[in-house]
Amino acid sequence: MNTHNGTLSVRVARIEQLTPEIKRFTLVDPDGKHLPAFSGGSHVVVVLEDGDKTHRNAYSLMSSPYDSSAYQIAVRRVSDGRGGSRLMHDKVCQGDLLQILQPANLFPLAKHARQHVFVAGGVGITPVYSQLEELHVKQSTFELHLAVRGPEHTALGLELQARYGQCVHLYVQGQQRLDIRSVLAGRPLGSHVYVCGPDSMIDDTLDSAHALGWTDSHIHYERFVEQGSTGQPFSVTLARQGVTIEVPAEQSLLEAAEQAGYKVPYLCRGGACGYCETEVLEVDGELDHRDDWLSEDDKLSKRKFMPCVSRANCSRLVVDL
Amino acid sequence: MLITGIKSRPVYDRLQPMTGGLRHLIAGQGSGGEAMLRLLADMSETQRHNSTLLYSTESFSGHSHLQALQDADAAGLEVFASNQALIDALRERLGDAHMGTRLYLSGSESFIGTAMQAANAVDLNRDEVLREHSGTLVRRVWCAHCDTYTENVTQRVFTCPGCQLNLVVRDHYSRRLAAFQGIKADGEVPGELPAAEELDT
Amino acid sequence: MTAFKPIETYADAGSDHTYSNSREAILRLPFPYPEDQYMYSMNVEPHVPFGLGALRAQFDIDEHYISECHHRAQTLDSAPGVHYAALPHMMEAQWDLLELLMESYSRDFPEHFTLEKNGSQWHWINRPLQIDDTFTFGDPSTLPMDPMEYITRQAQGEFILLEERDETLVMGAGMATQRADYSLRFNLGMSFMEFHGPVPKLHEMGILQRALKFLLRLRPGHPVRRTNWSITVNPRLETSAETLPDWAPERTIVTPENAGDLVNLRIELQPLHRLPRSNAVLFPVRTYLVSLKQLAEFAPQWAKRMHRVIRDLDQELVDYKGFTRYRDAMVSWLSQYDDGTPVDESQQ
Repeated sequence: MNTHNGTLSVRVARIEQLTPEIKRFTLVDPDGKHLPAFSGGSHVVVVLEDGDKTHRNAYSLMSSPYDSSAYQIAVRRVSDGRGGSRLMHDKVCQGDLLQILQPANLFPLAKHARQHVFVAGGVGITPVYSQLEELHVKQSTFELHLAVRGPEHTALGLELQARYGQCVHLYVQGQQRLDIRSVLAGRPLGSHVYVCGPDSMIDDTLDSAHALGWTDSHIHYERFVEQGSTGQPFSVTLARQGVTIEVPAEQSLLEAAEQAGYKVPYLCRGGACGYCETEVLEVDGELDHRDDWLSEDDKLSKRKFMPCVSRANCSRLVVDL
Repeated sequence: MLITGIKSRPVYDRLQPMTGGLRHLIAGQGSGGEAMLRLLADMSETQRHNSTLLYSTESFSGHSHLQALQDADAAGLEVFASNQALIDALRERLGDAHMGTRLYLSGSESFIGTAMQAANAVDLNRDEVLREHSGTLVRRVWCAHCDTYTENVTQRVFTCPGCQLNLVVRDHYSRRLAAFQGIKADGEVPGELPAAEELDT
Repeated sequence: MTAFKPIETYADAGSDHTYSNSREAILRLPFPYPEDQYMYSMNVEPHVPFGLGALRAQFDIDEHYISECHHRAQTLDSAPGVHYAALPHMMEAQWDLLELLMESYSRDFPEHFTLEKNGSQWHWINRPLQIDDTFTFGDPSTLPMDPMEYITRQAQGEFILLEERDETLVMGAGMATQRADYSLRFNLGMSFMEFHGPVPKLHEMGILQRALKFLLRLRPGHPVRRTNWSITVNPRLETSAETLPDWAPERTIVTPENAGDLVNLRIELQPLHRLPRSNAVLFPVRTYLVSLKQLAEFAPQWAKRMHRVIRDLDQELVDYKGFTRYRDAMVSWLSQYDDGTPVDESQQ
C-alpha cells in the first residue's frame, strides 16, 4: 500500500442515488483491510481509463476520518464536462475496482478556531461531511448552513440534520433564503468560515465577511491544485542516451525516464535539494519550473532544469542526461 | 552555542489604521503612548469613534503620555497602573469582542509579548494585530535551570534571582513564554564568563 | 535480530556507565558523512526500506531498546514537565503518532510487538517491556496517560509534533529526553524559522526556506528521512539546555590520549512523516551513540573519514555543536586511523 508514487486499488462496495444528479460511492480495500487514515477536508483523485484518455478527477472524502474501513465520495453528474463524472455515473458498477491516489488535504480545518461556520451549496457539502465528523469527535463548536436547489436535493442535508441536530440549517430554494451576511454577523473573535459551493456563493461569502471586518486568514474555500508533477504531456530528448521519451500527464520527467529504464540521479524527488539539477541543451518553447532550488536567474536562463518536478510547454527539449 | 544574532526575535510593525476593521482596540504602555497618539491622528473620524484605548502608566523609562491620551478624540480610554492589570482587562475584552475587531499594541517587548499571549488565546491572526515596539530594549529573561522570569534585564550577563547562577542572555526568544533564554554563562569552566556588555538598544 | 542488552546505564547517571555497543550495532549505523568534508545540505531522501541495518524499519530499534526506555522513564520521573510537553490542541496528532508507531513496530518487529484492532478496541502487546494493554483508540480516558507519552515511553528516539499553520510549522508537542542543547518548554510554540534560529549558517544558505517548503508538501504515506550529527563527551543521552551545568564541564577533560574513550559520535536519524488526521508533521530524532574508540575498532574506514571531517569542519559548526575545546584532541586521536589513502566506501 505504501508505493511511493503508486495508486491504491479500491472496490466499489455500494452506490446510492442521493439526488437526481448525485451518486454516493462507498469504496473499500479489496482485501478487507483498513484504508489509510485522513483528515477532514481531504480528497482522493480517481484515475479512470477511457480508451486512450485518462480522467483524473478529485473528489472530497465524505466519510469519517476515524473510521478507515471505507471511503465515501459523492459525484455530481456533469453532462457538459470532460466526461469523468459521466463515466462514474454511467459506467462504474458495484463490485468494480477503481484506482485512486492516497488522500491529500488542501482544505484542512483551522485547528485553533473558537468557532467553525460552514456555508455550502449542493455537492459542495461533500468535504464538509468529513470536517464535521472531525469536529464532532473533538467536541468543537460548529454551525452548518446548507443551501440546495429544491426539495429533491435535500437528502444529504437531512442526513446531517439527523446526525448533528440544530446546528445544521437547511435552506431550500424557494422556501428559505440563506442570508450569508446575517449568518456571519456578531461572531466572536477566532471564528472561521468555510465555504464550498458555486463561485457566486464563494464571492458572496467573501464580500459579506469583508464587510463585517473579517480578515482573509479566517475565510477558507476549497481550491484544487495539482500535486506531484502533473500537467501537459511533453517529449524530451535525453542527449547522452540518444533517445526521445514521452512524459505523460501524470508523471514527472524523472519518473518517465525511470520507467523507460534510464537512471537519473535524484534525492528528495520534490524540487528542493538540487541533486537532480540538469543542464538544458536545447529548448524551443517554455520551461515550466516547479521547483524551489533554482534561482530566478537560473530559471529565466532556460539552461537549468529539475526533472523531478518541472515540466515543459515546447516543441523541442533536449537535456544533458 | 550561539549567543547573539539568533533570528528568532519578533519583527515589529509600525502602527497604522487597519482599514478593513470595524472596531479598534488600541493598547499601550509608557512610551508606547506616542505611537498610540500618532495612530489616532492617522485614523479617519469614523475609525476614531470606533476605537477604545487602554493605557498603562507603568514604564521602565518613566515616559507617560497620559495627558495627551486623555485629550485625544476616541470612543473611550481606560487607564491602568500596571501592565498586568491592562492585560487582564484586555483578555476579558477580547473574549467578548466580535470578528471585525483589530488590535494595536504599543510598548516594550515584554508588554507586547504578554499582550500577544492574550491575543493568541482568541485566535487573533497576524492580519488582525499590529505591534509597534518603543522604549528601551530591556528584556524579560527566562532561566532554563530554575524556571524563574526576570524583568527589565539590560546586561548580557546577570545573576539569576531564583538560583543564583550566572546567566548569559541569548538572543533566542520564545513567543509562548514571551521571554528570552537565560542559560548558565560559565557552563564549561566556573568563573569563565562571556564579555559583560549592555544588551542592544 | 540482536538480543536486547539488559539495562545499561548512560553517562547521565554519573561517570560509571555501562553503555557499550556490540560490533553488529555499530556496523548497522546510518553513518552521517557521505564525503570527506561536511557542510549542511538538503540531504532528504524518500524514507523507504534500505538494507538490513538502521534503515530497514520505518522506526528503528536496536539492542539498546530496553536500556533507552528505562532511561526515558527515569529522566521523566526526575524532572516532570521538562522533557515531555504537549499543547492542548495537539491531541489528535498524538493519536496519529500512537497509531503510526504501533503499526510500524508490529509490522517491522513482529517477534516483539503485536497490535490487534477490533474496530476502535485495540490490543497492544510489547513483549520486551512486558506490556499487554487494551484501550479504545481516540478515547484518552482508556489510557493511563497522554497517548503520545504512552507510546513514546515504549519507543527509541525523540518525537516532536509540528502543527501546520500560517504557512509554517509550529512545535506543538515533544517527547525529548535525549535532546541536544535546547529546552523543550522554551521551544514549544516556536515556528520553523524560530526554533532553527540558533543554528549557524542555515538562514544565509537558504536551506531553511527550501526545507520548510519541502516539508509543507509532505503527504501522508510518503515519508522522507535525513541524518544529522553531533558530538558528546561520554555516552550521555540527555544534554538539554536545562542540565547544561551538569554536562558542559566535561568538555574540559578531553585529551588527545583519552579522546577515544570519552568522545562519542552522536548520529541522528530523522524519518519525517506527515500524519493523516491531524495533518501534523512528525519530526523524530533517533539518536545513536558510539565512542570514537569503538567506531575505530569496528569501522576503521569510517574513523578515517571522520578524522578528515572533524579536522576540516567549519569553525561555526564546531562552535555550535559544542566541541570547540577538544576538536584538536579528537583530530589528534583519530589521525592514527588516517593513512591518507581514499576512504574505501565498500568497507566500514
